[in-house]
Amino acid sequence: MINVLFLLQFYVSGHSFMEADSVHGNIEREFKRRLTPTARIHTPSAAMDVISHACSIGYEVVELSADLRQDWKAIHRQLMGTRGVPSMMQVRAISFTKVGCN
Amino acid sequence: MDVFFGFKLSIIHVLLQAICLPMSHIGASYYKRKLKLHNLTVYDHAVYGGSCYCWTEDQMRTGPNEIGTAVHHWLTRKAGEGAEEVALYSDSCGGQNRNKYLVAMLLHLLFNSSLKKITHKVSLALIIVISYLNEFNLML
Repeated sequence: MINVLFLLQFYVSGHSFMEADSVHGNIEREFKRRLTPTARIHTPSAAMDVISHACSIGYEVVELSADLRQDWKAIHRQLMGTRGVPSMMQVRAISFTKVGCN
Repeated sequence: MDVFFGFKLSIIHVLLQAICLPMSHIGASYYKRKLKLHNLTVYDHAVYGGSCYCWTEDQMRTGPNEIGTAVHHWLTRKAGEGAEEVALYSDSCGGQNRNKYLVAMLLHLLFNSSLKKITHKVSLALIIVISYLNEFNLML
C-alpha cells in the first residue's frame, strides 16, 4: 500500500507582480509600436533610444562596455579567501550591516 | 522593526531576455544571425522609475560579473546621493542573482561606500515571484 500526498501550493493572488517586469512590458510595447513595415531598428543605439522613450517619464539608459566590467570573482577571493560563503542554494536573504559607524 | 537612518531605498533587478537586432519585417533577415542586446532593469521604489543597463553580447556576457557591475554602478551612485540603507529584491536565478560573487560585490560595496545596510532577498521559487514590500516576508 502506497500513500501518496498531493500538496498543491499556490502563490497569493496579486503577489507575483514585479515592477521591473512592467518596465520590460513597456519596452516591448514600444518596440512593437515603432516597428512598422517601413521603419526598422538596426543598431544598438537605436534600440537604446526606443528603450529610453518607452514610457511617458522615460527610462534612463546606461550603456555598459567591456572596460567597465569588474572582476567580482577576484574580489570574492580577496574578501572570503578559500572559505567562501555557505551554499547559496540554502540562502533566502542576506543582510550586511556596518557596525561602529555614526 | 528596524529604525532607518536616512532614506530607505528598495530596488528590484531582473534581466530581460535579449533584444535581437536588427529588427525589421524583411524576410531574409529572419534567417540571419542576430546581435543580442541585453537589458538589465533596475527599478527604484523611491522614485518609481527604472534604469536600463544595456550591453551587446560582443561586449559582455550575462554572468554574475556583469550583473554585479551594473548593480554596483547603481548603488554607488545612490550612495553618493545620500542613501544609507538598501533593500534589493530579485529572483533566485543562480547564474545571475543568487551567487557568491554578487554577495562579495555587496560586501565590497559596504566597505567602500557610505552605505550602512544592504539586504538582498531572493524569491523562494525559481520562477520569478516577487511580492510587494511588506508582504514579501510572508513568502520567504
